[in-house]
Amino acid sequence: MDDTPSYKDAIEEIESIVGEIENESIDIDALAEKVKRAAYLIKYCKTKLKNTDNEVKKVLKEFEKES
Amino acid sequence: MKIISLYELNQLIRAVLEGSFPETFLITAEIASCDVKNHCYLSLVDKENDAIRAEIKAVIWADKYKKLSAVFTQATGVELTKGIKILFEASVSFHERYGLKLNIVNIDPSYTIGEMAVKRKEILERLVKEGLKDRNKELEFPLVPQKIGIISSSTAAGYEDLMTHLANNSYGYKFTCRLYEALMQGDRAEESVVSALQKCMADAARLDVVVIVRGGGGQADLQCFDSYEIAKSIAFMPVPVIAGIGHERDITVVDEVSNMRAKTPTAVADLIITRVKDFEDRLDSLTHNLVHGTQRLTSDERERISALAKNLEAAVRKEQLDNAYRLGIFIKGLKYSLKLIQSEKERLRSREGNVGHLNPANVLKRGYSITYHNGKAISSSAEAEAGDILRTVLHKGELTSTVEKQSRRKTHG
Repeated sequence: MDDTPSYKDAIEEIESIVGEIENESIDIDALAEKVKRAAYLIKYCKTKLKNTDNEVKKVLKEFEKES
Repeated sequence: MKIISLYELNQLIRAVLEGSFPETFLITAEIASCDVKNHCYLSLVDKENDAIRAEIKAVIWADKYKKLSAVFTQATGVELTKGIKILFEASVSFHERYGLKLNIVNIDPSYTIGEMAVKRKEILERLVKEGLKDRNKELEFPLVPQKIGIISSSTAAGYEDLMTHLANNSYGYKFTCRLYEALMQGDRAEESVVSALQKCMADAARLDVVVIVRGGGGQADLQCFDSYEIAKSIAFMPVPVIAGIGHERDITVVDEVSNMRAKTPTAVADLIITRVKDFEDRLDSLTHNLVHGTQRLTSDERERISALAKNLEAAVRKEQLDNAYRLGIFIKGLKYSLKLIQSEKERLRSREGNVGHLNPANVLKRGYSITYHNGKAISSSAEAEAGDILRTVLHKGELTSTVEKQSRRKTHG
């Protein structure tokens, strides 16, 4: 459907990053990148939850095409 | 033979029948058709292995029907419709024009409840045997159910409830809903729901969850949800099905095979919204942990760096102090050695004074001289003989002379 990750994949990735950070097993060099990635995924999920009308319309249009 | 009119014949039949069956009977039968036109006209059958072995028409007069049907529906959760089995009290009646009919005067709902329970049990046992009963239950419920296929009737109050509730959730979640229209009660309900489920199945790749919601309001007709065919379609649905056909009392076969069930369409909406809320809460808590974890990590790191800086500073300071001390010692040492040199100088100078007296030059000054014979300084007259040439070194200048006489004398001192 699209190249964005699924909620499931996203939350798993976020959890693994947060886990690494909490266990302090993360390299300081990599920290900024990982935090950036996690923040991006969180924002992505939140947006998807309250997804824009556009996205809904897009999906609806897909339905219409089929029927 | 006497000729009579049909009316006269029917009068005779009526007299015989009603004379032979003066009392009422308790009868069990299945309703084959049910038509309410003020009065309720029924067609009753008795089946053996699905084959009809007896059939008769029956009527419940309007005044009785109102009361009986209300009590019946209240007790059983189903209306008097095709397909259900009833135990009733009836008298045999014959009308010259309308013919033979059973006149139903009472119905015992507990028999139907028992029959429905038996039927339900049989369907469930069959589903278990075929491995279908828990098939949909075993599907993992989606983390975020946002694309929802709804099986309902567009005119059903329950459908309205569900849509309103989903759209007006206080968290602002957006849901994509698609209605798969179906009849939710009556004779054709089973077939209609199955067909809607099949359409859903074709779209399943784009659905997170399928919900089945029913009417709402007072009318209770759950009979079609004790259906093997519907249950089978649910079992094969590749996404979880939520049953929202709710009823206070009974759990239908559809409830049993669905992934989840809720009492009302509103409860279905709540279930879905709660699920999404749980996900958002999890996101929030992860965000919190991410921020705190990162802060802690970086502040730990900052502390480590500042500790290192402090250590470095201390180490440098100590090194400096050490060096300064050592330098001090050196300087002291140097100063001391300077003193030594000074005193050595003094000593040398005083020595020099003494040594001055010994210096042959000074001795020569005082009038002594050194005599060399053959380049060697001599200290005894015995070292030269008459005629030898001697060289005498004076304070100033030298003399060369010839020895005239040699005499021996004791040495000085």
